[in-house]
Amino acid sequence: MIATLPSTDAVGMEYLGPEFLTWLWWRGENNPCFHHPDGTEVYVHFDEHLEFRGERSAARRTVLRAGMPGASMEARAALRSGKSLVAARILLARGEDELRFTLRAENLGVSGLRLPTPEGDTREDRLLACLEAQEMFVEDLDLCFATFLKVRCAPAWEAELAAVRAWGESPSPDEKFQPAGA
Amino acid sequence: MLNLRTQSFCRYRIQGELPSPWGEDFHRLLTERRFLPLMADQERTYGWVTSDNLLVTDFHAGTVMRGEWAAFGLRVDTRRVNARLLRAQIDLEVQARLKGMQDAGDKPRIGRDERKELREDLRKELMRQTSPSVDVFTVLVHPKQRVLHVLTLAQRANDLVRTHFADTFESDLLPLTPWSRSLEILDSEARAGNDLRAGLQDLRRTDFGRAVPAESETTSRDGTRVEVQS
Repeated sequence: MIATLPSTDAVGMEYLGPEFLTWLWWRGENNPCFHHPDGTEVYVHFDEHLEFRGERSAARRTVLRAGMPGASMEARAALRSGKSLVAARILLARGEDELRFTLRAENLGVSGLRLPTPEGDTREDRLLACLEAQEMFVEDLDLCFATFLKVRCAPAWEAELAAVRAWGESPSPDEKFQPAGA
Repeated sequence: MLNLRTQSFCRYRIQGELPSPWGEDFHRLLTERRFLPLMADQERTYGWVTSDNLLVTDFHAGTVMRGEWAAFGLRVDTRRVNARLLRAQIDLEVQARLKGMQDAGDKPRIGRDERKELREDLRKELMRQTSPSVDVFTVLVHPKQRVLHVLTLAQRANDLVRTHFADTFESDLLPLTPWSRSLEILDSEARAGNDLRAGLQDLRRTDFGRAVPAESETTSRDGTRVEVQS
């Protein structure tokens, strides 16, 4: 059955990345904790950059920066209008380590990843510490993606989708705290 | 000097056989495709250098291995003659030649072939005087995981690394996109007894929102900057 699937990127499946990112945004606001098999917890928080692209009018792009855009009315408006989240600045927290990076949904490309200050007496030690931190980061990112995939490809997706849509329809934090008459 | 504190990267899965990065074969193949400086009339050249120093192409375990990872760089030197400068030089030279012909009492005329030859000579001369722009893109290889990271998101650089890697090791790099990564993860899940692969085959695009035109996208409030592009 799976053998019929192409091993390289399938044409028409480009929405998988944006769906993952949109789902991760929802997860980050509602249940930000992910668990590795060994019990290690990873927390996700969407940071200072959100980029949406229209599916029906593919050329339209909305970019929100600064001031917690994930909580803004504009971000929800973009989602409600059917736009896909194509890039986001994300914070991943594991224990005391916090990593910020921008994830591009299209190819899972990572940019602006800032690793924690490495410990070590020599330059080589610090380099190895960076490589270890990078490996952990990739494991955390893979954990998020695998969690998404296990829901996305299972019957449970319908219920999950209903929850994401309900969240998208609900007022954003900015809208909730908007002063009356503003 | 390799610095990984801040980085951007694309991930690839290494396809096919790859010699061990601890072994001599790996270093010999890197050396065969090492960076060689631009020749006088070359516009671009590229090749492998060590990750610590873009001037060094001496590959051995000590310069390549960093813990479990192999690290090296693809250096790309590009030299381009400024088109405006070339045009200006040609104009000056043409005027000088025409004047020379007039002074000699000849009919001032430069033929098409002569102009073409003049242009090529001046281009080569300017090329010799132009310093190349130098780029280095770090490549990290984890042989056990069969993973390769290219530390840039620039498409051209990624394409060049893939091409040069394939030429060097006769091994292709499969981009770890959402789709290819999905296949891997679901295959692994299936081996663990949780087969969800049929779900991937039946996948349909999800619409998270309503199909209504966005109205509030040009507004800006509460410090959130909004940019709408068409």
